[in-house]
Amino acid sequence: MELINRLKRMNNKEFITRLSKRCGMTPAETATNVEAFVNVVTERLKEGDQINISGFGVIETKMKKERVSVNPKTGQRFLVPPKIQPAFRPSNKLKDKFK
Amino acid sequence: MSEKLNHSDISALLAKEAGLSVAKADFFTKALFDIIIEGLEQDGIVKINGLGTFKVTDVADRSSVNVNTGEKIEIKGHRKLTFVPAESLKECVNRPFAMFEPVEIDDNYQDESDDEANGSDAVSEVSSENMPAPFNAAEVEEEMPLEDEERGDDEPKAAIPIEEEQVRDEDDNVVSNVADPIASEEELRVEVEEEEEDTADDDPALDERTDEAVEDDDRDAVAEEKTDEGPVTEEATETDNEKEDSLTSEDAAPAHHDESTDNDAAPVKKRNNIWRFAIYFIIGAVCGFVAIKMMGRNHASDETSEEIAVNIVSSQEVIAETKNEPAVIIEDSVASTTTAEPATPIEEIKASNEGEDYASYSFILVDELAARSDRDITDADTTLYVAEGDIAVHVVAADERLAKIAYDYYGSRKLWPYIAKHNNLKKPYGIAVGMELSIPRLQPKK
Repeated sequence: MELINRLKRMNNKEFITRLSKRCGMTPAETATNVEAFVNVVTERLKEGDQINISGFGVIETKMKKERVSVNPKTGQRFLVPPKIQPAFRPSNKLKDKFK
Repeated sequence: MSEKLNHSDISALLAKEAGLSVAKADFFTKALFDIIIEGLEQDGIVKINGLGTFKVTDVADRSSVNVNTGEKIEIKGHRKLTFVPAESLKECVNRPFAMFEPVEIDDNYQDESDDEANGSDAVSEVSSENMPAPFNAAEVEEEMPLEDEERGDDEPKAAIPIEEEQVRDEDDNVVSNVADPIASEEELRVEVEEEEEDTADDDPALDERTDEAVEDDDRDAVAEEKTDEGPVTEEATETDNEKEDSLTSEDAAPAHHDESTDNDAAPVKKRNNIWRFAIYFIIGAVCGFVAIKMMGRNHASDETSEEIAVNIVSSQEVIAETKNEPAVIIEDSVASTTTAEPATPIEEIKASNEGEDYASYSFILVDELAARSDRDITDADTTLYVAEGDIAVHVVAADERLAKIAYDYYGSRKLWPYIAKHNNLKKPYGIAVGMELSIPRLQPKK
């Protein structure tokens, strides 16, 4: 059962074929468009912008502060530097769908 | 800079980027998000290259506690939508901080940086030593709580070796600062080295202070001084009391380190770990003491001021007792620094590694202190009195804490542990609004 689930996973290829069917484009065309879309999103996130898609959620960036982490095996401590991470907050509508 | 973009903004940008008409781009993005939602419904996972993975994950049942009432509630398991960003997206977004990497905090050098922190503690100790003089004569007859005496006994003895260690470390720092032209590219390190220089600037003052201490004890230490002129190894064999014993082993540690390469740093590390914990404990104890004293001064109530005076007196006496010893120890360390100095290259590495510790030690210290002082207070303050019967039953109101309740009934915030103990509260001693606490009557122990 798990194996079937794994095979059924929607990967990038599957995603693009489906999207191309929906939009009536060739898969290659769709792929370039998706790439362009990803570029746009990346570019915006880099600027620190928020992307609000109603009915889907918010894609944004979050600032994480530096912290000390410990390797539980060896007891070594590391100072992990601050970083900015992309994050996604699903909208309430989408959340309810999967509850 | 940080704007909020909606669907149409994204479509417009996409149209520009991909050379599509706006209407088409709008349709495309709509279809894209629809497909993602569809895929999530069907497969529970959607992967998009360059962006990341949207996933539906299961969350198991878990029990939690209602913060207000203390009731247990079970949070049902449910499914949750998560997003794992792709590596390339992460990298792009994190570009402003890309030059940072996780830095290993080397435990080997932890205690050295701690010692410098202890410098300030030493100052506060000295000042508190001078402070209680006016109380002194009147309160000497007061009964001294046994436990406090014991605790105070360990403390200054152990604190003094640290002071001498500090002297040695700062010598090292001076050497390394002179020899080290700052050539590192990383900002962090540069900053830290600046800090080091700052501490080096402070050195004269600290040295003066320890010198004074040495002068004070010169008379006691005349006999021992002769042995100091001999080689260090001789001294090691002549150890009489335990303190000296442990110290010489400490002195041996850097020497051993000089010889060893990076590969056999492990044993040294272990020993240093032990030292570190010892030092943490001492710092905790010292700070606990100082905190108690400060608290006591704020309260005008007689009870607390008496207690504190007793504390102070006991610690002061113990300091006086133990003052005879440090002279020997400090002389020891002076001898050992002279032997250690030829091995400057290793000292330099030491100093540079120490820098990395610097950034984090204060953070760790704070945690450690909070834990220690907390425990010390409970240990100390549940021993002076005996709880006999109840005075009242107190219903906890909003914005109340144990310390406040203790202050209301006993006139001292310090006595809250009795209430906690009497009501069988467990750490972290949380109380909720509406909770009924029985307040014990306290009789001084004889």
